[in-house]
Amino acid sequence: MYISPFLELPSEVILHILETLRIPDIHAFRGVCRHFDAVIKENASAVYRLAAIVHGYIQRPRYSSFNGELLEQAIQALYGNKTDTKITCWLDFCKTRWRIDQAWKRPIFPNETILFSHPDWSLQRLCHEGDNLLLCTDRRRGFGAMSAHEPNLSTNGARQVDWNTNGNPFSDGGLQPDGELVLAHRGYLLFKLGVTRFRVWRHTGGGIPVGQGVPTFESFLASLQLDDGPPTASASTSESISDSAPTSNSDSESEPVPTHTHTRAFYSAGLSVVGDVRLDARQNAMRLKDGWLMISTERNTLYIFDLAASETFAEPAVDGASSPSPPVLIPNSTANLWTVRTPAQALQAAAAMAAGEQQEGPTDRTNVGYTTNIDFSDRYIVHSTSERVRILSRDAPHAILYNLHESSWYKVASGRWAKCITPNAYHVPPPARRVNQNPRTLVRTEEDLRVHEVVRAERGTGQRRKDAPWRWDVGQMVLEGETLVMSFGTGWIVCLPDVERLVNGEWTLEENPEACWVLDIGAPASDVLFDGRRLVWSHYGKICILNLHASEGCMQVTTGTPVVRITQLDWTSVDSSQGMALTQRALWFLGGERGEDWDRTIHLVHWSFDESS
Amino acid sequence: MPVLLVTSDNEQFRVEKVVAQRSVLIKNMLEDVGESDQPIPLPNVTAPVLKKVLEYCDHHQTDPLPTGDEPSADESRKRTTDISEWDQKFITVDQEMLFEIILAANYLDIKPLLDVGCKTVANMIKGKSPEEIRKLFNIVNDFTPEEEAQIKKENEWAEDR
Repeated sequence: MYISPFLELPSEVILHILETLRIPDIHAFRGVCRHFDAVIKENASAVYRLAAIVHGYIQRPRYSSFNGELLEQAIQALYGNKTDTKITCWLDFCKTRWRIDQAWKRPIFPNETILFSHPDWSLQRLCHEGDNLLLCTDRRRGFGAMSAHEPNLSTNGARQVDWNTNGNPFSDGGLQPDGELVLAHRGYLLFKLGVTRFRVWRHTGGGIPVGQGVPTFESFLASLQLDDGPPTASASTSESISDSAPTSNSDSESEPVPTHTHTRAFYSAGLSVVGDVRLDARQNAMRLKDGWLMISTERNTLYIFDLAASETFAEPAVDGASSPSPPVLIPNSTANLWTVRTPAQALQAAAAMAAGEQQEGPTDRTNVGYTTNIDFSDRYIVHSTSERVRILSRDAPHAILYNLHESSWYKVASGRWAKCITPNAYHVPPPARRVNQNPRTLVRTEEDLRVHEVVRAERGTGQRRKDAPWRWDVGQMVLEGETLVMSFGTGWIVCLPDVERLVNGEWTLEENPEACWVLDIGAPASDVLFDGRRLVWSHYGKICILNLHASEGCMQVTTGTPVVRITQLDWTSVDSSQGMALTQRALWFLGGERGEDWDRTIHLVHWSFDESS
Repeated sequence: MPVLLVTSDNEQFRVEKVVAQRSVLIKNMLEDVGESDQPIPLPNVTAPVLKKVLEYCDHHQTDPLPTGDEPSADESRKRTTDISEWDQKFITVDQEMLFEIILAANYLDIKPLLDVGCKTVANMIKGKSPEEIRKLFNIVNDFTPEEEAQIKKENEWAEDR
């Protein structure tokens, strides 16, 4: 009797084959015969752990074998030390994530909840930190936090913060730390104290605590007022000036330095100061991520702080009579972004040094401009100015690994040229309606987005004169793992799916269409979020979601990838976005709407995945 | 210095040491015995398969050897489509030889070759129904109708086609 050689493979080899298959393929394989069914049943944990990696539910470990310990390290790196996210059953984990993915693929994401609408423009931005949603106000009124912990969220809008009835919690006793909350990520909060001065706080539990049992905004605020009692609305940080903090330059000497009078509540909430950050000039761009803080200043100095390695500042004495000044954080490294070098320039400089020449050698300084954006991963730093976009080495920020601005021009027609990074590989085809004979149609109505698909296009659909000035008008930039997403003022969202291949020279923008694809949305995106799987942006009062996880392989966008529209509210009148936050199951949007009498209302809107659906 | 390999069907292959050492098994054996003219027996590999395996090793002899636990850029981007042109041509063989190569790569501990073989099989499985996989690999359906229905029910949460 003939026995297929496939059935003679040992289990470990069969698992090796399954390593790269998606869940439906694994299930089809399981249904082939009893032997395969038994192999998968006996190794269910390993099989679904690997499937979780293939689907992007967890990060792919950078190690040569998928053994349990290394995988746990990768999961820890992704989820931090939060015990509640420890995965005990990989099959259940994959089931849940699969259902969430299906929900995100629906044409209209369900369960919109307008958490509040209030005519208060003091709300400045929205931060998502761990399990919490942080609403930042101006400096005088602190910030508020509410639990975004998904299992505790009502999916039908039952829980609302009624500001009109209860008053504005920020003005009636909200948290008033020193300064203005500007960034938050995984237990670290960055407050701006002055033009060149920041303070970093840390919560050891990984997130801002909320009231036990009833995780509400109000209970959180109450938990922060145990020692000092509710701060009054008139109490402001600028009124409590102290000379406690030494300064190093004239800019910061002129700024008021707050005391710690109103910060005791912070300590009682389990938060403590990591330290103060002092800069040589006004900050241009900054990013707080995974315990690392990077700030670039107007003088193009890049400061890199390893916050996780810094000891937190001890809680002050209970009497509060003399609070010691927090320590000033020493950056782990700094770099002058004017003098970064390409590898060739670095070699020349080294040769010049060896020859005893005094000159510093060539640099990539020409017209570098001011930093407009910065982001980093565990290996790279991406740095953009109006003139350049450069990928630097994380280990040596002085070294340029890739110059995106040096991408070539393509001649697409007589006198017309397109740069490699213009819509040339994949793009959203323009809708039928055209405006002003512009080949790139502006997206103005819901219809314009209704039938969009991302398809492969011929090179050179973008048209531009070679002698026309080229500006790297990068609005927002997200580097997530190996994928870099940038939004441009020209109305493009550019995605480089694998930065590592570009840096290593395996791909070039000129020869590999999959190395760069462009969404031509026709208008600048005001917010761009990217979590490695979903790309979310807002423009013209619309929020669009592109599910990259629906595509396979190395995120080559395939025909039919859904663009999800969210059109609730009267989005045509929503004329500003104060920020969005994206979690696995929910999307949050803070935006302002202009009324008939030119009065303005700010909305916090929440869409969530409904498990029951 | 050449190394002498003897297959299960008693055929001898004389190959350069650098080529033979693509196999971790052979590398370890050579390290154990030291400098010696002793032939190395490979009882689990037949001559046609070893010939094919050595062809792969010869072509990739200058590639860096994969190390145990160190981070590997290649591994971090393991994808089904990532088979080089030469490897694709090399692995275009009949099914019997394909599985023989996979078994040999597993036995000889040649991880890159094992990867190529497994990815090739994975690509063959991708997008197919159980019946199509059975037909492709000539596998008999030994499930009872009840068992088949049970598996289908257990898997229905992830149906997307």
